[in-house]
Order: sequence, then structure tokens, then C-alpha cells
Amino acid sequence: MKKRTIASVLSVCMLVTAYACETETGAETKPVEINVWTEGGAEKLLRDADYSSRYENDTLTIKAFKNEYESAQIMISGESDQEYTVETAALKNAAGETLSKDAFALYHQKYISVTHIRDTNSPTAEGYYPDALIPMDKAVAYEENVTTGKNQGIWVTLNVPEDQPAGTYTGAFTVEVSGESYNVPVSVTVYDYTLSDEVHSKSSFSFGYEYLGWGELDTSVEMQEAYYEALLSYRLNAQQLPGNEMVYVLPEGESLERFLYYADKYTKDPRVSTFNLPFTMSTAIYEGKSINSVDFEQFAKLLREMATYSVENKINLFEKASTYFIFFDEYDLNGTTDVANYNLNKGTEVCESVAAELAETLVCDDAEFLQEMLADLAGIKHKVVGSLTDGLQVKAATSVPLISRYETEAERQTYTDFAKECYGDDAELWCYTCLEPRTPHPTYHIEDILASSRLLSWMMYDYDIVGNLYWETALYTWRQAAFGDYQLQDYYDTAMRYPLTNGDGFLFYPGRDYGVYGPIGTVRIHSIRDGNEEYDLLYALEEAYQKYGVSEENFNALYRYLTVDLYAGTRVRIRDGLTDYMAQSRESLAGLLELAYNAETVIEEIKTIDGVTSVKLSAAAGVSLKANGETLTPTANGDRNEYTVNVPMTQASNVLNVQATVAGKTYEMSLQLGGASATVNAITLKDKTTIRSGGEVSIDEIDGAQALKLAYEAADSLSAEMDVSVLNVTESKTTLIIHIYSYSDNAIDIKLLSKGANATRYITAIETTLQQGWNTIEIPVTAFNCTNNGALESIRINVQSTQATDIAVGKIEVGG
Amino acid sequence: MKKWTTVLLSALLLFAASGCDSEETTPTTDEQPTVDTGIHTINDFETNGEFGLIRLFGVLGRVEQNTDKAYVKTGEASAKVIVESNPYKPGAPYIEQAFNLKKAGKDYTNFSDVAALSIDVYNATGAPSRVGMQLTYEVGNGTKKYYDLQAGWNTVTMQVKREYIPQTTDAYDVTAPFVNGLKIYFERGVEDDTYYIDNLKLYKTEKSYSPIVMRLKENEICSFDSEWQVELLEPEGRSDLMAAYMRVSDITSTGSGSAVRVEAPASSSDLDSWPGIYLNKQMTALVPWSEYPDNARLCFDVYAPEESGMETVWLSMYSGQTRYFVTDELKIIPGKWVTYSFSVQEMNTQMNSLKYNVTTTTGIVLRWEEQTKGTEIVYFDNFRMEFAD
Repeated sequence: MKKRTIASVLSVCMLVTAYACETETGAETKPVEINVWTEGGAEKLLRDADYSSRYENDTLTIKAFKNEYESAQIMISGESDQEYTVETAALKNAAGETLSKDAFALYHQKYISVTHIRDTNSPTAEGYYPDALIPMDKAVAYEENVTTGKNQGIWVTLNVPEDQPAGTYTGAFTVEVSGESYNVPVSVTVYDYTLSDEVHSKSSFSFGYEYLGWGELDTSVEMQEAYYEALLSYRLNAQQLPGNEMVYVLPEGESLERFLYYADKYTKDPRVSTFNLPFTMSTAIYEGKSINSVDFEQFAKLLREMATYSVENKINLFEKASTYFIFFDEYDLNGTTDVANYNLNKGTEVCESVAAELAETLVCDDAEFLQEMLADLAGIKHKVVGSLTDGLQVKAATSVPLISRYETEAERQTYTDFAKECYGDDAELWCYTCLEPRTPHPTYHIEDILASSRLLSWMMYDYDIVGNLYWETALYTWRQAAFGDYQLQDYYDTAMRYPLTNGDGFLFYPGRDYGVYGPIGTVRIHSIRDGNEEYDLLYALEEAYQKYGVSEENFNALYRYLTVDLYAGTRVRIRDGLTDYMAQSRESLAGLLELAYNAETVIEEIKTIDGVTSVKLSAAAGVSLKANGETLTPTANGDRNEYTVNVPMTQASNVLNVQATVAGKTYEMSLQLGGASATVNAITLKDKTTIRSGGEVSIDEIDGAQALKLAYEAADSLSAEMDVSVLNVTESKTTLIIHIYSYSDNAIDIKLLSKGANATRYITAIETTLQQGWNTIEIPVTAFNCTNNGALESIRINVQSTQATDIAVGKIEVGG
Repeated sequence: MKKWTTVLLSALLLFAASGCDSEETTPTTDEQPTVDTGIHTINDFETNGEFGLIRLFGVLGRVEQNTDKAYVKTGEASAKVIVESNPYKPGAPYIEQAFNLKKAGKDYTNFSDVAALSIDVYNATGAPSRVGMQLTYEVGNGTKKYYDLQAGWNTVTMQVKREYIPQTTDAYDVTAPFVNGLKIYFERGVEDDTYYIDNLKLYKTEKSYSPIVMRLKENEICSFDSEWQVELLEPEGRSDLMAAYMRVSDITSTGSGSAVRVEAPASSSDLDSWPGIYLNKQMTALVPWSEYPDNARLCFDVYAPEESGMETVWLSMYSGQTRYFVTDELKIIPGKWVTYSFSVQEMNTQMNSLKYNVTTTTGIVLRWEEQTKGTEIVYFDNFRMEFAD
């Protein structure tokens, strides 16, 4: 397990004697002890927790790409009611180039009280959590630049200019607390790659116009636009364009004009990847029943207006258009499957028929443009929020399930198959979160760790999920019942605005309270932006790899090395040091991007077999490569060279360091390969294994090697239990691999359950099917929930049959 | 079968003047009512914090603090209200002022000693206008009342009849007529309009009162036989389309008791909106909705005179803000009572939702289409549940 090196031993600690005045009794006031220290931007630091072990972290360190936002924190620890100020300064690199102080934005972290923890798998507790980020100039203007508890955080966000030269910039900021000055060294590394303006993920994040009327006292189009633009600044698309609500009146007159204006504006904007089309409501008869429906006559009218506008103005308004008929939201939970079926099918039918109609009637001098536009119109995707059920019978729809529905390979395949069936190569996968799922799945909840919201984007990229839907970002109300919206007395308190969850429904706070026009952001939405930026960085990396012919399978194998320490399935690997692992993965990503885009160098293939990680690289001619300090010998392949590196996995932590030198510049990449694997043969566990339902445990020889044979007798339920505590499987490990041999010609379904040392019950770890012969079963350690249940103590291998069955267990490997 | 349903908690807000006519246009007055126990300023918009306890509804537009003394009635500031024209947003926009000022350490929700409310309104639209006032409770709203506004400052005073405010019990076991807040309605014009508001005040009295008790007959939803059943009705829609209604006994569907006679004014603009009348949460809370089987039928009677009679209405059923059922157009036969009925099953299957259905009914709305022909008249009577033999 790795730990981050402590940055510096200089602790900034000073006794402050604020006043020499005496009280009435003649006693002097106690001097205030202040510590000013720093932390990265991937962690929430609670107002009243003890972080004294970190006071030695004195350097504010940020590593970011050009055109990227990245944050870190300056912390003031001491007592409350200490007034403070922060001055940024320009930084310089070794070449004397400057990183302007204007690239930094400062925010006062405002804390919100969490009195009931609902995400019980989260390691955090009740207390005051940083959430709203008040721009520092406003905090000063409203006299809130004051410490409010034991810890006061200052959020520092760097937006690296697009044209900033790469390199490391240093300097110092000044923090003044109750009249005393503290020097905070700052180090910024700018990677040699520019993040694109274009956003490749899609999203549908709502803000209710009525809520603007509550929190901002302003429902004007200008305020709607302010919120829309605010979301764009976080690489998020709003649920609806400004100017009209998604469920609005009629597509004519001023309403239509506003819609077309904003559709035009944002179709041209690379920050926008999608928008939902507005619609009006009606009813329809479906299978003899009257149901709620889109007014498809008006919808068709809107489509025709959009098409006419597109042709007249030579802009394809359908390029980013989609639908979200929200009134059958969570159809699987609300019993509105029929409503979903009708409206999704009708929506598809109407889009296709209007496209066909316009193909005959619409005149356009650019045939290619017209064809593309009509294809986009016909292929408009219709979102349906909810898990897939057998009842959903649609020609085409984009399913939007909870992110936790993508947990297993089998589940992901189900959604992929459905999407492909609906839209072929143009298929999209989407996900959503709300009060569900709970940790360790990613959430936007206040008590969840900050890394969780960021890692959702990594999971999305991993599983080809392009879209993320969130039901509300500005819940400026206290919703305590199905029909009850109660006024908030203070828009900056009340963490639990939606029942049972802290932070659900709001990622913004009203700016009105601080004289800001538009919303005030939060640490959570900053973290979401960090994840969205990383999505685009990963997109860029894969794009480069595709250019150099690296297969999807091999890219995915490489991707695994970037993420194995961060999550498994859709469960975040919550444990000490997670932020260090995230920093490491980012560093690796940066190195891979620099190598790919500056030195035309990629990892073609990477795999670990029998304790050795074999890496194949390729680079353009003229690039010289070193790996782990050794110069690599190229093998020519066309206009590129190929290289091989073998890294024995003998250390507790094994690394691949690559240096690529081209035209006098050297680019470096460091990739963690994991620790040595521990392997035991199950025969060593013979005395610790029993067949609970009856049968015999013995040793058998299979293919020249010994294995532990489990011969289950016929019974109502076949179950064997194995004490595996000797394997020492804790949350620090990544994968448990069990090799199981099936003697049967028929497929056998099995279920593996696990119990931790601290648990009283077994939980299901995996369900799978054995084919005849050897089967390798990989179980991510997150399935054992070691954080809550303790180290893995025992497993049960249950055969889903009542017939006598023989299987054998061979090697058991623990990766990490 | 159901017994008499007695509800002790409800009361009813009856405003002065024309008996059962719930929409009164009372001239504004600068005369302050005399009270026995004092005047309390709820909101004078002097500080940013005071703006935190108002909310805008109906996509109203914008409210911000104003310090231009030309538009300040007293003190240093007032609130500037910009009502956006937005003709495609039906319904009347409003500001809601909360009476629970917990953050300020004050709670004005207990109306057991409140005689009146007043607010200063500056009409900067350049033409006469109107403002509506309506108290809001936990179980619905009081009657909406409109007041004319001349150009410049107007002090609008609303008398409070405490006996008609629902009696509820709070967390401290106090039973009283609790009022959550005040809704201040503005009319939407063809262009953005500006108003200024200042000095929302509350007047207390030492005089006592007795709350009204509401009862329903077996299977009754609303017969309009009791005065409170017309008084609690809420008009819906733009202020210029607000229906006037009264309880009458000369034309009823059963030949006895009372019905409600509704006069729906014509529109001068024909913007395709849907005004109506609303049997609100306070009224529908008395009905045992969850006890009705699928084959039970909600029935009501409708009548229009041969001259100036309304031709069609639509019935909608609501759970909170969600409409779970709406009928097709219901034809009214001139000069004849017609009964319409819908089964519980039919009403449930339109939306087919586990959350929004008959058992969770909080409101019934009868709507008609905005029209320019002239005032239309319609009568409603005898909302009830019937059961198959």
C-alpha cells in the first residue's frame, strides 16, 4: 500500500497575541494558536475534525492540463472568529515565464451541518461539511472571511490558460489571520497537453425555474441563462434550454422564437453536447385506457419549425437534440410502463414520419446537409429513466438506469445489447443518480467522499456510458413529503432537503444572498467538473491510441491499470489513501497523453502472466525510449518502431517508468503495475473446508496438478464453506481470483458468498456459470465490502442445483 | 358504507361584502383599521435577509431591493417587483410571504388574534391595475381577493375572518388558526410591468371568535349545500378571467339544497388559457378517498342556461401539483342538468401511477376554455361518490 510523501517539514505555526487588553478581573486573553496548511482538491475537510497530523503540508500543489480547472485547499486551523484574507501572486517557472495570479480564483468554504448520516458505507460522520464556495471578494464584502470553527478551508481553483507553457511554476501566496501573516508556498505543474473545449460526455442536469423564483427571486430568461451558462462552466448540459420550460405551452410566437434562438446559439457552442426538446402535454388512448401523453401534433409542429429554421440558417438544430419525456420518470418504480411504451414508440414514429415527410417537401440547395439533418431528426433519441424491465416494449429508447445497474459485466452487456438493438452503431448508454444509489457507488451526497463524484466520470468512460442525468441542481426548498414543498428559512443550511439524503437535489446555492447574479457553486460540482474534464482527457487518450491502431481490447487493458486502485464495477474503493491513488492515476494519464501527443508514443499492449508484466510500446521514428532506466531497442514496423519491456512483479509495488525523447525534449510517464500477487493452492485449505450440505472434501489430480475436490451430495441446497482468512484479503487488495474446475459436461450455476471478520452474515460476492474444465473467476475485492465487514474470513461456494455435483478448487490468487 | 364524516379541524374564510361572492373588488383605502393590540411589521424590505422569506411563483419575473426614495413608502428601501409579460405562462403569478420568521426569532403564523393585513403597493405600470391577496394554510388556501390599484402608492387592507381559517395543531400541541403565509398576486400584462411593495403589516385584536365546523354527508364530496363549500372555492387562471360565483337555491340538480352558480368572464385577448374553479385541499381532505373501491364512481351534475350558457367543461383530478386524471371535453346541454361520472379505476389508469391516484387526491378542478364571446354561466352541484349495486 502506498502513502503519499509528506511534502515539507516546515510547519507554519505561530502564536498570535491579538490583544494585550485585560478583562475586568485582570486576566489576559489566551493567545490563539493558528496553523496554516494545505491539501489537495479531492477531499472534503470537515470544520471540526482533527487534522493536526497534516499541519506539516505547507505547499499548495496543483497539477493540471492547459485549459483545465483544478483545485486545492489552504486550511486555517485554530479557533473560530478569526478574520482572514488571502492574496494570490503570479508564479514563475525556471525559464522566467509567468503564470498569472488572475488564473487563480479563491473561495471561502461555507460549512453545512449534517446531523444524520444516510450513506452508512461512507467513512464520514455527522458534522459540518464544506459545501458552498463563496467567491472570496463576496465573503469579504459580506464579512464572512472569518473562521467558523476549528478548521476553515479556502478553496483555490486554477484555470490554466490554454496557451500557458508547460512546466513547473512556483511562488507564494499570503494568508493573513487576525493580523498575522503566513507565507504559503505554491507549486503548479502544467502538463504539456491542452484539454479540448469540446465536451464529449452528455448530461441532463435540471434546474427548476420555479426554484429560481424561490432562491433567486428571479425567474427571468436572463437568470435562466445564468444558470445554464453556470452548468456549462462545469462541463454539464442543463435539462432544458433557457427561455422555455421543458414542459411548456405551445411552439409558436415568442415561445418558439426563444427556443429557436437558444437552440441555434447552443448548437454552435462546443461546450454543449446535447439538449432536450420541449413538449406539451395531452392524453391518448392506449390499449383502451386514457393515459398521459406528449401532444405529438404540437411536437411534430416543433420539429417542422426546427427543420425550416435549420435549412434557412444552414445550421443543423437536430445534431444535439434529444428528448426526455419526464412524466414517466422511473417508470419501473411508478408503474408507468404503459405510458413509457406509448410515448417512446410514438415519439420514434413521429420523428421518423416528419423526417420522411420533409424529405419530400423541404427544399434545400445543399442535398448533403439536408440528408444529414433529416437523418438526425429521424434518429432523435428518447430517454427513459429507470431500469430495464421485460415490460418495456419499445422500438427505440435510450435507457437511463441508476449507475449501480452497470455493476457487473453481465448487467453492462444487457444495457449495451438493448442500446444497440435500438440505435445500432449510434447507440448511447446513460446513467443517473439521485438519493440512490448509496455509497460505495458514486453519489453527489454531502456526506460522501469527494472522490466519489469525480470517479463517476471514470466509470462512465470505462463502461462506454456517455450520458449522465441528474434530477435537480437547485432544490431551493425543503421537500418533506410527496406533496409538500416547504420554505427554507435559510438557503445555506438544511442539508437534507429531500427525504433521507443530504445534498440530494442541490449542487448550487442562490447567488442572491451574496450579490452574485446566478448560482454559487459547491465543492461537489467542482468535483463533478474535475471528473468531466478527466472524461474528455480519457477520450483524447483513446482517440490518440485509435490513431496509432491500438485495439479497443488493449486500450481497455491499459485503462484497467489506471483505475484498478480507484474502483471496481461501480463501487468506489473507499479506503485510506484513495486520494493518493487518484493523484497517481491522474499523473499516469498525464504522462500517457504527453507521450501520445508530443512523442507519438503509445502502449500497444500490456498484460501480466505468471508474475511478469509484459509491455509493448510503439513510437514514431526519431523517438528514443527508456523504460525503468534502461534504453529500449526498437524494432521497425513500417514508419514506427516497436519496443518490449518486461517487469517482474516481485515488489510490493511495481512501476513502469517510460521516458520518450524527441527533438531535444523528454516526456515521462509513470504507471503503477500493482503489487506482487499472492497465490495459494486450495489443497492447503483442505482442513478448513467443509461441505455444509453433505459430501466429501478430498484432493484430486487434474491436468498434472493437485486440486481440492468438493463432491456435493444431492440435497435441497448444495453449499461448501472455506476458511480463507490466511489469504489476508483486505480493502488494500484489488482482486481475488479463484480457479474452479467443473467435472460436468453441463453448465453449472454457482454463487460465491463472503463473510468478513467483523460480519455476522454472508453477502453475495458473485454469481457465475461454470463450464466443463477450468474456470477462472475474478472477484473485485470491493464485492466483499471489507471496509465495513473486515478482512475476508470465509467464503461459501453454493451450487445452484439439488443434484450431486463435483467441482474442484485449484489456485486462489490475491492481486494487489 | 360511510357514516357522517365530522371534521373538527376545518374552518372557512369568509370575506366581507357580498355574502357568497368570493371575488370582491374592494376599493383600496389608505385608512388603517383600528385594532386593540397593535400593529406588527412582517416585512418592510429594509434588509437582504427579509427578501429571503419571500418566494416567487408562476415564473413571475424578478424581485429586488429598491433604494430609490421615489419608490420607498417608509424607511430606506422597498421591494421592486418586475412582472414579466410571458403570455405563454398561464395562471396568475404571485409572491408568497412566509409568516414563520424563525431566523428572525418571530412567528406570526398563529392568527387567533389577527384582524387584518395591509401592504403598500406602488403601481408604476402607468395604468390602473389590480393586486390579489390570499392567505395560505397547511391544508389549502383562503379565498383570493382582488384590489384595484391606481397609479402611485396604494395601501391595500385585507380584513381577516379568523373563524373561517382551518384550526390545526402545531408541534407544541397548540390548536389555532395557523396561517403559513400570504400570496400577493399580480396581473400579467402584454409587456413587463413594475410595482414596488413596502410595509407588509399585521393588525392584532383582543376580540374573540368561534371556528366553523365542516361536515359532509355520506358519500358526499361537495354538495354546495353549506355556505363554506362555496366560500372555500378558489378561482383559477389569469386575474381578468377570474370567475365570480355564488351559492344559489333556485336551480339545483336535486331540487333542494344549493348549487354553485359560476360566471366566467370573457377574455379580451384569447390566449388559449384555461381558467376554472378549484375544490382545494381543505375541501377534499374531508373525503375518505382511500376507502373507495375501483368500481365506485365520482359523479357530479352540471347545468347551463340556454342564454349565455357555457358549452363545455373539463374535470381534472390532482395529487399535489400532479394531475393524475383529466377528462375529455364534457358537453353541457343548455337548460338541462347533466350528470357525468368516472370510475375510480378509470381515473387511476390514465396516469397509472402508484404515487398519484384517487387515494392521494388533494384537489378537483373544473376548467373551461378562454373565450372572447362574452360572459358564460354554468352551475355545478352534487359532487358525490356512487356505488354499483
